[in-house]
Amino acid sequence: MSLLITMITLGISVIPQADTVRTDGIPVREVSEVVVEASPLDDMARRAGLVEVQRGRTAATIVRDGVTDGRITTTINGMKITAACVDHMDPTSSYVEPENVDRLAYDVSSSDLTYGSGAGGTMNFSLLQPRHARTMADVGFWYDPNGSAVRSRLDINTSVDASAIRVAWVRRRASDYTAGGGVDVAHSGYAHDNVVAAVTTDLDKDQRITIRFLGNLATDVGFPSMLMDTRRAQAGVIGVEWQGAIKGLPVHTRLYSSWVQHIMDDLSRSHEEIRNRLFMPNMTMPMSASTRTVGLYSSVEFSDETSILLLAVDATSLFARASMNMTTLDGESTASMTNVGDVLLSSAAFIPSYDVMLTDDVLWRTTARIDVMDRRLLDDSFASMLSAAAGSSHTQALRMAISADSRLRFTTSTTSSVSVGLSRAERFPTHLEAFGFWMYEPNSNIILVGNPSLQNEVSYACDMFLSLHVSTITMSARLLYGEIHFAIAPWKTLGIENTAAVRNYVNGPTLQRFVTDVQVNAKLNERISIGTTISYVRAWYGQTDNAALIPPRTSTVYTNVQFTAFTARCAVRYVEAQNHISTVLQPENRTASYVTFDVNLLWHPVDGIDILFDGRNLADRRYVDHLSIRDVVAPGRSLTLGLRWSPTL
Amino acid sequence: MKTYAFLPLNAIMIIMVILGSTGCGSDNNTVTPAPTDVLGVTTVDGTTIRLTSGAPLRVGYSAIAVKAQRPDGAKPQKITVRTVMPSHGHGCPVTKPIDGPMYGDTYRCGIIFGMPGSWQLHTTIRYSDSDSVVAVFAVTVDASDLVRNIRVDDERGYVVTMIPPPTWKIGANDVHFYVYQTSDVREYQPVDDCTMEITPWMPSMGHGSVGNIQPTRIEDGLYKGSVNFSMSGAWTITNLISKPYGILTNLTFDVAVP
Repeated sequence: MSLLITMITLGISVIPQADTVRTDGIPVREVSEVVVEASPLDDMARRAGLVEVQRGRTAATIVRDGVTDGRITTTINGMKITAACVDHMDPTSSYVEPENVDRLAYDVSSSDLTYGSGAGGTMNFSLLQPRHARTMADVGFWYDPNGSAVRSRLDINTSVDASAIRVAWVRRRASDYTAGGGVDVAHSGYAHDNVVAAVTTDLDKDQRITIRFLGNLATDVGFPSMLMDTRRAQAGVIGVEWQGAIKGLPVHTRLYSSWVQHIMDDLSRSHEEIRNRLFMPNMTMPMSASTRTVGLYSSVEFSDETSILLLAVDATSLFARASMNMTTLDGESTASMTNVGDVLLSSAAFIPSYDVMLTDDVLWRTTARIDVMDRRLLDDSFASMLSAAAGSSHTQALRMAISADSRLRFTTSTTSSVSVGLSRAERFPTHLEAFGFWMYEPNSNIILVGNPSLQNEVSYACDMFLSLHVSTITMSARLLYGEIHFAIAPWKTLGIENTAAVRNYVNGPTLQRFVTDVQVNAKLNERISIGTTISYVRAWYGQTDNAALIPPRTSTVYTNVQFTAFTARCAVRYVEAQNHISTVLQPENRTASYVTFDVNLLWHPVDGIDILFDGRNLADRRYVDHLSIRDVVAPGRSLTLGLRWSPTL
Repeated sequence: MKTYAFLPLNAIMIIMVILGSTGCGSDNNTVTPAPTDVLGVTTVDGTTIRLTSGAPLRVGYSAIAVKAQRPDGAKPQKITVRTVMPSHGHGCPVTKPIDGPMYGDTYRCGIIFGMPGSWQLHTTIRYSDSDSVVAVFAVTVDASDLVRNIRVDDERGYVVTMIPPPTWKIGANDVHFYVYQTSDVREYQPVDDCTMEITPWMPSMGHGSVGNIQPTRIEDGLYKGSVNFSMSGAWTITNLISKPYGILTNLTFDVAVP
């Protein structure tokens, strides 16, 4: 009896986690993931049914089921990296380059407790994996006249005996893009470099060691919605992973360290702009922030013919600090502010997960996660200042959080199934929610202050996931209703400074969510398939307010055409107007509906050569994505030409 | 019996110069904690009177201590201090100390000097109704920006002083204000019915701060609050002082947060 199911739709698959596949007849612990192969991040997210908070053309924040930031755990091969910028300029996804990623995966359940316990589960980016018995190179170059965006890539893989090494580098440069209708969007240019490297060695048939490194350097992040540009954001992740067996029990251990240093300033802004801007005019504000995370994850599996017990520990330690130095344009007045004063968060989690086949067709999985966290402020003066501002002196705390998820999956055939689940996910406040100070939120022009007294946030959700494969039609549908109790949000107003309200994070009203998305794909013949996706999210705080930055209902219709050396994809996306907006918590504007037309072509004329064309917003529609911070207009027509050369070595 | 002694101003100045060279320092609003400054020592009829302060005297609140010793170990019943500025013929408020008891091994009090310059501190040590000694200490008071003299009309004047912490720091800072009323610039009465609203402001940055605690009365004429500085730099503290009949004054003090 196999626990495996596979559902393939266009570019999206729900598959068991590849790392767990075994051939010795013992049941494999299956992870039903939505997996999306590497493509540009926005495309990858869109195909996965996700959306992004847009701040320009790069470094968007992934949103799932109407939640983001601290409610989603983002990992890179299971390794955590913590954003440093207090203004949310560097979401974790900004440190992965889609071209250097194999896939983005997340569990279809409402809350994946493997690496965290937020309401949005875990997004895991898997970096390029070294390949054994293969020596290859891959060179690519892409150009988009809109903003003169250039992307180049070099990827080399080689192997010797039981070892393999792979190194890949991506360089991206762009100047300001032009929005639909022909207006340039200032400060939207960017400059990024990303390197990934991995070495893997099979010690024997049961043991493998992999060392991974990721380095990312952004010398221009390109956030037109922000007051400042990042001039140097560097991040790194290094980890060693051992997969093997101890007394026949599969063991998986990962030790890693990640770091981020984020420096932003006003050097690229004109004096006139600084003098006249809405928030803190006449002030240059270079900011420096850093985080360092050290983590250990280890799991072991016990199994018999019908059940699997997985026990895991997930421990991390985070050190973070951020400060800002301010100087008036005339240079006469200076000041310095600490935004995060030497925060140390140490946490450890124990995760038992039990799978059992109740019948041949019914799998029951129960997962728990017990987290313990010690958090403290090490900077006394900052602690004093924050305590006074937030009205709390809890600068040191030991907290516990208990999460659990239970679900049943009914398998009706090898390719169709229904799963229903209930989950309780309890998360700690993030270090910024608890200890951040004077964090600017440009969308609503408010200043955010952390609150050391915050309670844990607890989300409850019930969800259903349906996966059908009938003849040449595949369909998946997902339904979720959830409530987030003690929802952490900046409800409390501390005062008005300059022109911005200063808000304090508190445990506020319950956030309710309703999520549904449907994906249907029909294969008309060997060459042509068509499909549609519909997604709808509502999130609201009872009678108080709607949640901010919730994507409007979106429908996409696409068709795929595939010949031996040629594939094409055309998509029409209709995004409805968003009228369910936040008017109290984080006031935002309504956004109008719009339609975009996209075409993606791939031609494979000879072995080793690929020619690509990626056309976005072909009608050059001027529109504002509702999740665009401060209503920055989206890019207009974008015509990317690409060439990839993959010689056989 | 009442005996007077007068310490030459020059001697006091010499002592202060010597003490000043040991590194004690101040700016307009902050005082670096210093070893006890001996303002004067004198012996009157066998009673040795020692006048000290925790820091060089300055306009605003200064804490002083008086210790009297006799060979027979007798304890004084009462010690009082009266202030006179000879060149102007007026005094200034003498208060309880803000940071401890008034009586113990030594008599402690606070003096709110209203002007810089030469002052006399008339110290009376009373052992019994018929046995007291008086020592007059001449002291020099440095300038500062911590006192505001408010003349409401011909009859009434107010003295308001801000008492900063030993050093301003980023974060919460306790801050005290004394409010005294006078009609003749010699006698001062504490004012206890004020309402205060303080507003820290950073003019160069165009913002204030959150987390401040408005001052409330804690003792005769003394109000205590807290101001929260969110960053280093030049700040101002504005204090809008109201009486039950209306606004009394709106004062601004400059603060440098290191």
